Amino acid sequence: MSRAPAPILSVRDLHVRLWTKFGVVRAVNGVSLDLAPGEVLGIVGESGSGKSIAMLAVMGLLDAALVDAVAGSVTVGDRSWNDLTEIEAWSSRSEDLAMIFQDAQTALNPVLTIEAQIVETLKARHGLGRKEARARAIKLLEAVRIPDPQRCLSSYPHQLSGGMCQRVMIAMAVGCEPKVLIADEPTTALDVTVQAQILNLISEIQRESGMSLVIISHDLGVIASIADRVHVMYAGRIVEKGTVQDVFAAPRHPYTQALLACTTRVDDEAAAPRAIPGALPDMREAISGCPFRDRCPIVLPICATEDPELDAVEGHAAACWRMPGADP
Amino acid sequence: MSIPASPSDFALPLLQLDDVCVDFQVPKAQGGKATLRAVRNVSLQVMPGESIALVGESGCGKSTLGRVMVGLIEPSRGSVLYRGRAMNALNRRDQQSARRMLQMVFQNPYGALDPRFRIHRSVREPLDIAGLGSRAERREKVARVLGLVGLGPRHAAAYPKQLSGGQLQRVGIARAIVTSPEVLVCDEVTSALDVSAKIQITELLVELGRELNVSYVFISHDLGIVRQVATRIAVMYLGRIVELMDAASFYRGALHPYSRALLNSVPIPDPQLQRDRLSKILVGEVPSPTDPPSGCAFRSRCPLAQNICREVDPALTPRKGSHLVACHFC
Repeated sequence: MSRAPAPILSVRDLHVRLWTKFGVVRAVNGVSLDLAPGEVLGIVGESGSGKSIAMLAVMGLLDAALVDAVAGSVTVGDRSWNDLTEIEAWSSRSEDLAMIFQDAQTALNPVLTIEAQIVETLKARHGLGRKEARARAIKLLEAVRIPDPQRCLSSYPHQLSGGMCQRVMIAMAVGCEPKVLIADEPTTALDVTVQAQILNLISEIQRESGMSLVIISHDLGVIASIADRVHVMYAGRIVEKGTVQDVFAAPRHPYTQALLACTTRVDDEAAAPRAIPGALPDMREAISGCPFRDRCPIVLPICATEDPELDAVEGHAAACWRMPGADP
Repeated sequence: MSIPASPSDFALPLLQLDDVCVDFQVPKAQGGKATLRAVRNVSLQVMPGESIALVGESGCGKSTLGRVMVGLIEPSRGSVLYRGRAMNALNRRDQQSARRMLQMVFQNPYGALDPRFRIHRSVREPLDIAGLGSRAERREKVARVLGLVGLGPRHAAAYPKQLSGGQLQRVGIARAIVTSPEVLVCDEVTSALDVSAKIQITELLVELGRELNVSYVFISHDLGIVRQVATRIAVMYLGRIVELMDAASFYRGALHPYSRALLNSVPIPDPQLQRDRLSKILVGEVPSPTDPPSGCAFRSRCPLAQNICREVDPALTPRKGSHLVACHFC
């Protein structure tokens, strides 16, 4: 079965093992995903689900000193990378991929003005001269609704609010004209009213430019705000995927159901949230069977021995032995 | 009121803040110092058995106000009364015993614990400092309090780095309740936790509040979590309380344009409803607290603002029941 447009980004069977203070952790265990041109994909999961690590591996931004092993392949447009440990891979993929992070203030260089940082990026990416780069920088800052772009250019990061720094990061990322923007918890450090503004901005820029967007968040509300499709991650795997409408209205995987049930709501439909019993499995061990089985309310004997696969077909799917058609 | 008054309606407030201001001197970019009024003319009472939430965005003064309540910050103006007696007029000994009754739980439980102490020692420390009980009694109290927060002997013997964030926050709570306080100020205690752990901690706090008869001042920017614990909600903006009402009617009946904007900004996990909400968001950012707008502090972002808002800072005035709002137009 082939989808109508060829994916702009494809990840196949991504595995990442990382050194941590607790030993080697199997952070990502067989993640595959496809992103269509112009599509917004949300990746949701709790801390330790592997959502950020998977995308850092795709970018080629994992800290080499902490990597124990990376396997899998990444295809961007018509170029593929099968050896993700390769150092040069980052600079070649950076032409097509850009990433923004949770803490924009620390992602910027504290001793350089915003102008120096944007102009440096534009010169490196597009080979522009200083004057042209400055004019382009002002255009970009206007596009991200920074009220006084001239003043912003001469400011240092600490003189700007967290929301303004995130706007600058978005301007720098968009200025590189990436095919795919990966936004890792871009609003988590911001106040709610500013979070809403930044989500609107990212969504508008994505629609206007037609780039694809991957938004990573622990907050189901953030995913519901702008994503077309969502992947739910647990213990380094994708356990459910589908359109946001399908997954939020009729979640199939018991983990997705539990995650929705423990999310608080401020609107009228608020029901008492329920915590998920138990904890994430020990990620240092290779997990046999379903990683959610110890916390699962509908566990079967087979869940202890065999890991359910995520159905490869398009549309709404969950990696669970309870799903119709999942019989071994 | 039509329903019979509960005993707490006749009780005296545990804590009473009258016209409290807190000023900080901060360095200006051009050199020299500026005065930052972090809390401006706040009057508030904490009644026995209630759980009052201070909500608002960063810089609104909610944490500073919480610190004033437990005596960690001295107000620049106004007074703080504990059971009707001014805190700063108490002698040293009475002040110390009052402070035992007013405890605080912090956002980052790992940072609030000494990494070299085993958990039982950290929890025992407040008793040691206060000189409460014999060694055996202290040991017994620590075990009992850890049991109350759902931790066992295995956790008591552990070091902070061996516990999860949720478990550490339980330790933070145990350490705060070990001196049997009457008021517990919880400053963003769920912010660093995953969704499920957030719910577990709020459930624990509600349960402890009932069991130990402790009142809460719950400081949080998370209105979804606040809904689970609060009985009253105070919304703060640039150091002022702009709306104060009971929690049950806040989520549908908040009147102040800032409260409504805040509620509308919290994303909800429903793609259709949420996209509609996002189309009606608040513009601008919180102005600098060293240079707040004249008149109403919210007027620079307010959809209802008129000329009067530039000139007159609206006072908190009563609406229906005990509902207070500081706005000229609602």
